[in-house]
Amino acid sequence: MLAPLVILAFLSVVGGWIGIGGRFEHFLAPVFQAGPAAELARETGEAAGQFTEKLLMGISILAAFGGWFFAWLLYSSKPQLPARIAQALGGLYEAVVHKYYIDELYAVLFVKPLIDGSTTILWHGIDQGVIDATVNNAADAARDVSDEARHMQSGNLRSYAGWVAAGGALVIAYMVWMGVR
Amino acid sequence: MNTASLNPIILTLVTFIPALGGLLILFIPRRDRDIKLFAMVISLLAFVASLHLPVHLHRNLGGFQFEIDKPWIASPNIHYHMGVDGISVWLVVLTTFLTPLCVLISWKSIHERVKEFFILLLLLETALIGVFTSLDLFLFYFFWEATLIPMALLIGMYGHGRKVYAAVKYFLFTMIGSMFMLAAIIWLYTHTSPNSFDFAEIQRQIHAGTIPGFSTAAPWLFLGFFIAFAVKVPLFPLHTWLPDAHVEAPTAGSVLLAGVLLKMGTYGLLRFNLSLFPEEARSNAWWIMLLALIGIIYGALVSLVQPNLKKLIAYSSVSHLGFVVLGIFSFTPAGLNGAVFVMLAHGVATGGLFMLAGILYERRHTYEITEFGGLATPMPKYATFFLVTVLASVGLPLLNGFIGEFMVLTGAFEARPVYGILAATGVIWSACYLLWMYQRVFFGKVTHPVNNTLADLNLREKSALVPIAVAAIVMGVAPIMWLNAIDPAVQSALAPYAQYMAKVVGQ
Repeated sequence: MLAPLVILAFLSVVGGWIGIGGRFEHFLAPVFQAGPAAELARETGEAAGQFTEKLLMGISILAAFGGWFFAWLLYSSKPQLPARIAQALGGLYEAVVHKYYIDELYAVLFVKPLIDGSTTILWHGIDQGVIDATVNNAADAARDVSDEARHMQSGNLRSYAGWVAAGGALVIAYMVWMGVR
Repeated sequence: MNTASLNPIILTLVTFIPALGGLLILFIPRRDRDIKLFAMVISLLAFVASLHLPVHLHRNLGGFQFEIDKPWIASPNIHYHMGVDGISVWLVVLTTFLTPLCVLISWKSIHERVKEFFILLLLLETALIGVFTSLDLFLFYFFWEATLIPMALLIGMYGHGRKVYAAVKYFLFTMIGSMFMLAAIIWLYTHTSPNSFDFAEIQRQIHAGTIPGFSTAAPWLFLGFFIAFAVKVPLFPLHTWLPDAHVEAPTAGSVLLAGVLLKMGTYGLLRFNLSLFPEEARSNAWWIMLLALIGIIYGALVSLVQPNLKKLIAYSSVSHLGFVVLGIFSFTPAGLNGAVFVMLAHGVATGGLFMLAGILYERRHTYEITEFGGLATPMPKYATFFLVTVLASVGLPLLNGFIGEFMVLTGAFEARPVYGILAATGVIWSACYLLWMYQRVFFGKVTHPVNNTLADLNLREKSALVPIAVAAIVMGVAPIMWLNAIDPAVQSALAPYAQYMAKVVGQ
């Protein structure tokens, strides 16, 4: 893993210097106009803009070296120090080590309701409880009705004759009723 | 040899090579290896033949090409009329692309009735291609229903678990939906003069306004076609057959079901509902888009909590196909181009996901996510292919899922900004359920000792997965190779809308 890190470190040192001197300001000029920041820099004078830029660069470099220093202090020079600091800070240390409990808060507020809601309401409730139940009940109803209706097909000739007679009587009754009306 | 001379018969060849191969398998003795090899050769032959189409397609033309129109039955007036445009040509190629991979992936997983399996697979391929190439409504309906039988048998005979329940459910759902379409097709045939099942002729008569009673019947005809297609897509709330069918189906069945069969629905919406009934499509768009939107979010949320790998992928299809419908009914060029591209991208990515799930099933005989965990350690190559496919499905830029979804969202936003914004959350949801699933299956420590012994991909499995990964990357990097054929077809599909709008504005 050392070689990639060396390459990246080299590129980050070199990469920072390339932009100095405004070499890329008009790189995409035909498509993108200069942004408001560049406009502002032109209006307030290049010098002021450049001063702010250098100041910010300085601060960020100092911050990087600060991190370097503290890492050296805590992990290499005085490795017993972190435990002492942790003890001294107490609750604050706990909160920081748990990232201010953001993950836990997020899990309670969003993840759990979403998963529970999707499981009970959407999947078991709507998908299986309403839509699928309707479909399955329709199929069951069709089977049940047919199951009852098949009793008509008893193979018993006398019962068939009975059905024919009953049907005939119904038709005649209907015709009489229509005629009377 | 000048291959352009094949143009008039190429569609017939591409459509019927698989079925012919399937018939020939009947005469091969039951030596499984021979049958598999023969099925492989046939499906590759169909794929090579289908490549003729995009190579010789005139990409700047929007209309149908490679047309063949022969009278088939004199009365009723049925023609053998086939043709493809820039939209259907890719769906044909998608079908022929996925079928050889299906053969490869079924090599070891099918042990019984091998002969029947590959016959059914090849018959299914012919029916699927036929759906995309038919320009005669009768022929279209024939192929449409012909896809049902092999697929139901593949699920019912070679599936697992409650396979018969799933097969019957799939059959009934889509069959009942199709009945409405059949009624609409017959109405159109009986009211056109001269009576015709021909798509172009019916479209011409509708636009000329010479069909008596059309304006009163049109809303019902629109719905008739719509229900058949909406079940197939599947659009919320008609989607519950899909998870069952997918979970119980054999791997090859799932791949073709998700990869191609669902696109029959969206293709039908695009080809028939949009082109034949522009006014009804416009006036019904708001609730269809709403259903699509519900499908996107609802499908994603239900997918999130699935404990079963295959069910998770099945519900993700509900979500992704929602994007397609949303794009189609945005009536914008971006939305329609995107919809067609999502169809293809979803076919490749979800087809790939089902193949990967099947590979895992062959090793562990379960799809339960909790049975896995830490698989990246014993199966690094498998994990890599899985990640590429998952990322393609999520819609990572430079992979194929991104292009289509982005265009659909652009189109939806143009048409109805609120819909566009809500649909955009679907992209986040898909990252949630797929990446979370990936994390639970592959990352961390191996939780079940048996998983330590799992073999990584073998050569056969790799050669089935490489085409998927390559297609996902190429389609993501160079989508213009597809879009320059899709766009003219989309523009001509949208032409009635421009006229319609001009008419409304002109009044």
